[in-house]
Amino acid sequence: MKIVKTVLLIAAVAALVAGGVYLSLVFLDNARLLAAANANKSGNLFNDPMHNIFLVSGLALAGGLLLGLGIGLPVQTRGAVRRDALDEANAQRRSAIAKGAAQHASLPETGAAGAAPQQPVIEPPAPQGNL
Amino acid sequence: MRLADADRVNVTTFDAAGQGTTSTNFVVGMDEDRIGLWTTESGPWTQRLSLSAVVSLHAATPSGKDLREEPVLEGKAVLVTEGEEYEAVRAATEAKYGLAMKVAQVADWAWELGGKGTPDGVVVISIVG
Repeated sequence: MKIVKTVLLIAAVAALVAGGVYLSLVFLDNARLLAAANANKSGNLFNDPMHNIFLVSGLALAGGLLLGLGIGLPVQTRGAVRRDALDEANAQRRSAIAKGAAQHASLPETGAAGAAPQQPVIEPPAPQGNL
Repeated sequence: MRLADADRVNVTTFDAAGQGTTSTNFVVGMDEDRIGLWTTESGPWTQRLSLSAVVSLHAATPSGKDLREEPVLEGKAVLVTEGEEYEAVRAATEAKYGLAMKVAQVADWAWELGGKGTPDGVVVISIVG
């Protein structure tokens, strides 16, 4: 993926440079064309189209940039990805403990000969009067 | 962070179906692999631990929110209502939480006026992994 990314970046820079060069050429040609079109006319019949050309170029540039960002940005931030990973790990651990607890709870009280019972040893609560 | 150094700990007990019941508790350290939880009501713990002594432990904030960075640990719990360990955990809880423990005691006293309460107790949990 790193190679693809580098190739795409190089292609993007080449396209930007080429676009700048062609825009400059259009700008230079446009001045001559406009002068020729308006020659021998009373007043300027043809308006300078460069304003619109610059506007379209700028919109295309901004659109391409925003589209690239939109495609390239991850769905989640790095922090959110980390939080999700931690939550998932903790949930898996809790689930494993729950399974173990359920297995212990279902064991019979008398295990192998001489073995201690698997049920928890719980001391009865002290009577109220002792407090 | 050691579990005993957390503000609170979320303890989940499980029934035979693996269904968990979670509560947020005060926590104090006893020794390297054991922690103690003082509780105003030992009755619910008797019921919860009668199903299975295996519990899961997760360090939490004072409001009971799990601390994501901390791991979920497994422990084996025993309820103690008198004796040396009971006294030690109770004293350690008083030293660590002070006013918060007093507030809990007052609330428990008020609850027990209605005859609904059960004696306080200490849950000693051995951390197994």
